[in-house]
Amino acid sequence: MRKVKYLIIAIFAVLLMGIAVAPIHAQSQDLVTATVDRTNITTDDLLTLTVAVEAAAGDPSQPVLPPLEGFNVLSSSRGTQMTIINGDMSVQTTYQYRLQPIQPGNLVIGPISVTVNGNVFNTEPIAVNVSQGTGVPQPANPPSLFPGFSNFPNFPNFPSLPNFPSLGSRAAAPSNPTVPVDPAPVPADLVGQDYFIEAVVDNSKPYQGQQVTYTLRFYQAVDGLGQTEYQPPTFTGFWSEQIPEQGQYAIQAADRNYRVTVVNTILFPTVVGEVTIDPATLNVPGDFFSRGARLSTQPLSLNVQPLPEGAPPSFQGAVGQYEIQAGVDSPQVMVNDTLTWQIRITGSGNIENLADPLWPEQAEWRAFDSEAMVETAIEDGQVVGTRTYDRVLVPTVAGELTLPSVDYSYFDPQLAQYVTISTDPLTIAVAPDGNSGNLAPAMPAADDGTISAPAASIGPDLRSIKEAPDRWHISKEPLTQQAGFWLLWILPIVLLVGHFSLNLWQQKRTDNASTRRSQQAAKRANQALRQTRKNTDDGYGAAGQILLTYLSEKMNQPVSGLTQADLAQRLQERGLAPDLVDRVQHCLTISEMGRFAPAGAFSSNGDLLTETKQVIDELDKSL
Amino acid sequence: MKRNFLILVISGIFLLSVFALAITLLTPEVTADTQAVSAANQLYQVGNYEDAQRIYEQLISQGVEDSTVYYNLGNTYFRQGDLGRAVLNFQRASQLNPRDPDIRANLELARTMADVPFTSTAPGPLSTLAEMTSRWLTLNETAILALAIWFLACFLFLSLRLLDGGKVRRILRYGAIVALLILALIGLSLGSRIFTESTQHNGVVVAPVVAVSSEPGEQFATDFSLSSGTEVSLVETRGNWARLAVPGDAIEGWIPLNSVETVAGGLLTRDTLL
Repeated sequence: MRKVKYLIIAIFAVLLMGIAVAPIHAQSQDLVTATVDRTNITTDDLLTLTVAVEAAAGDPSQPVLPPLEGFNVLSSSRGTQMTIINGDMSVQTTYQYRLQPIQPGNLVIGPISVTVNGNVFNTEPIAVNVSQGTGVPQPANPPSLFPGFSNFPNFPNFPSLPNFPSLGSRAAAPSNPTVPVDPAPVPADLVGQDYFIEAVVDNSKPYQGQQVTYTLRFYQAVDGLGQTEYQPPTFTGFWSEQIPEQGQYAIQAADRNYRVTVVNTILFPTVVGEVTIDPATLNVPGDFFSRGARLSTQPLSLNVQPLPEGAPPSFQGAVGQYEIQAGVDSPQVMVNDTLTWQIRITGSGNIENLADPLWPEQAEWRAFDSEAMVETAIEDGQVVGTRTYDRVLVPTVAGELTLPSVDYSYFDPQLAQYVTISTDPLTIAVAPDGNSGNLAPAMPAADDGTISAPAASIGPDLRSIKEAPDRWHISKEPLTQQAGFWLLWILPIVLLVGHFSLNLWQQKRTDNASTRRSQQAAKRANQALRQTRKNTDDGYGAAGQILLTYLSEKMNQPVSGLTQADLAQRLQERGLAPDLVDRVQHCLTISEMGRFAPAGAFSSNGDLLTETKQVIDELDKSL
Repeated sequence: MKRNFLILVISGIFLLSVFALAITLLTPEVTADTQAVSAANQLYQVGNYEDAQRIYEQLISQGVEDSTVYYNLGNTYFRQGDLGRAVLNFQRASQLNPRDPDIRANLELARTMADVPFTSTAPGPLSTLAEMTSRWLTLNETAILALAIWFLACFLFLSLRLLDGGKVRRILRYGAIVALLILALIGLSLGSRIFTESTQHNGVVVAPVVAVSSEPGEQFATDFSLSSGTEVSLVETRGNWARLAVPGDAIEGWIPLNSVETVAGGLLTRDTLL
């Protein structure tokens, strides 16, 4: 009976344990999960393995990975997400591993163990089908562990790279991707802090223009919820270029696990002598569980050496290692046809700001310069690339013409000497203009090897280009913005005003002369009368003539042609007394009669002269 | 009478000579670089649009202001699929030679291909008059025409002063009145052109797609987007941003300076609209 009792108790105990354990086992499927981002990959791809631990019940341990046959573990990361729903807080911790398959086949990721509150949980095995790739690694960016959170502090305010065309995979790379890098020696100052940064350069005594890599390492032992802000140095005295990829690795130091984020900046010193790089700063925001931090690096001093004396004539400041090549799109061309002369400078250095070659003088060619097409990339931490010049040439004479060699000099910091490189001269057969002969105009092939069709056949709706006119305008401000144009508007007015003014002046001048004549008419008449009295026998005729001259000057109009009646009328119109008019007429009549009458018919002409003087004196008072 | 006639003839010759000389000096012409255009045209004909474009742009950078060069440059951009810059250069060509049917046709084609949601329309009667005139005459042509009629009107007025004879004077009087009326019309048109061109800065969106923000800055909300080739009116600049209006100032917003170029020439800079 007692045995039965013990048996029942034992059964109950087992049932109770089963009831207690079953949920834990059941929970293991929910508490700890392992997933991969894809199950069919090639050997060129990277695989992301994510282990998520629902850690509300306690602090989980680091997952223990099984032996991963067929994979290399490139990097690992950890993220935490906190959720509060109706006052209940849950925390999910996620571990992410980047795996690189090293062999094709059906590979299996075994169960991953995680200990939570002393309980060990294992994930389900995961099968991954790996096929053979092409050998070209594909860019891959680890997805964020949680929406709104970054798995690593991808510094959000990194400057973009303007004018930095990329080659190969860089063109498709997302901004600030992370890549695994080799760990650096643990800095001596890293003694268990939550956060730590250091900055180093790979060459503290570079030549001017030589590449220097500035490396910032951010050591992080705890996770922050916010985004870390990076304030790079100003890099005064350098031409700088930020490398968008951030390197990452994990280390252990002072009994703590650190994630290390590496940011590289490529520098080219532009000045010589002692140059100091300012401190870089990092702002790490705090959260519920940790306090934020503001970290600064120490300033770095570099001694930039000047380039040595004795630079060759073709040296324009290039520093690095380069090669130069030249080619043409056709070895045959006609006069006034176009030829493209391509010169490529390839190498390592500050390709972006590399000086252009000195183009040789070419009397037989007309050259149209081109902007260099620049392609750069980062290979093994060095800036490499190509500058390509497409010079369009037009031969002006026929014959066997030579495109001379192009010399290019640079300073090689590794050899510590100047190096001059040259292209090969090229011989071009130039046929006379209009003589098609056997030469066809150059038809550049497209990238796919096809020949471009003439433009006229490409789009029927687009009207064709035009030939140049004989003459054309050169750039100048519009007429309406030129003072000379508005001054022209005044010219006709000046002409009209000038015309009116001239008329006015002439009129005034005439008036003045008449007035003067009028004022002095009596004086001149009296003088003439005196002269006549002394010298002239014909006193009758002279008296009449003197009177008429006086009247003409006084009235400012000729009167000699007038009849006596008309003269009388005009004198009356001027307001003369009738008796005075009669006396004038009388004098004139006597004058006329005396001129033609026989001698002695009239009394002495002195009477007439006296009468004429008196009449003139009277008239002068009235006119 | 003879003296007056002589004065009139001398005045007429003087006015004509000064007019011709001044216009020649104020709108200088040089012998065209036919070799360069020919080389670029050859490259274009064989499909080498990039190099052709480079030569045309090199000529423009040397100060050439010729509708042919802008027209050909527009064609190279059109062939390369850059409809924004095609519209821009056809616009510039049209401003230099508005009566050219080829330029008009290609401008319309580029506009159609760009498929922009709207084209800018001139607000206000002055702008409408300016736009109507600009379809037939360049600004310089309008200015020269106005000046020529002004010279003619003044000459007729001088003739009225100097010449006798009732019939001749009657003809001269009617001629002067007609000249003054035409001058008033052309003058109004010229004034509207000058006013419009000094107060309105037309531009063309050259970026493939540009987001128009409510305020100058990337952090502000995007109101709408404009595609390459959209013709806009530029209102002001602030920092590296330009405020635009389309059309008739009904819609406004801010875009980066480097996403638009002015028809008047060159990239928009901070000082362009100041």
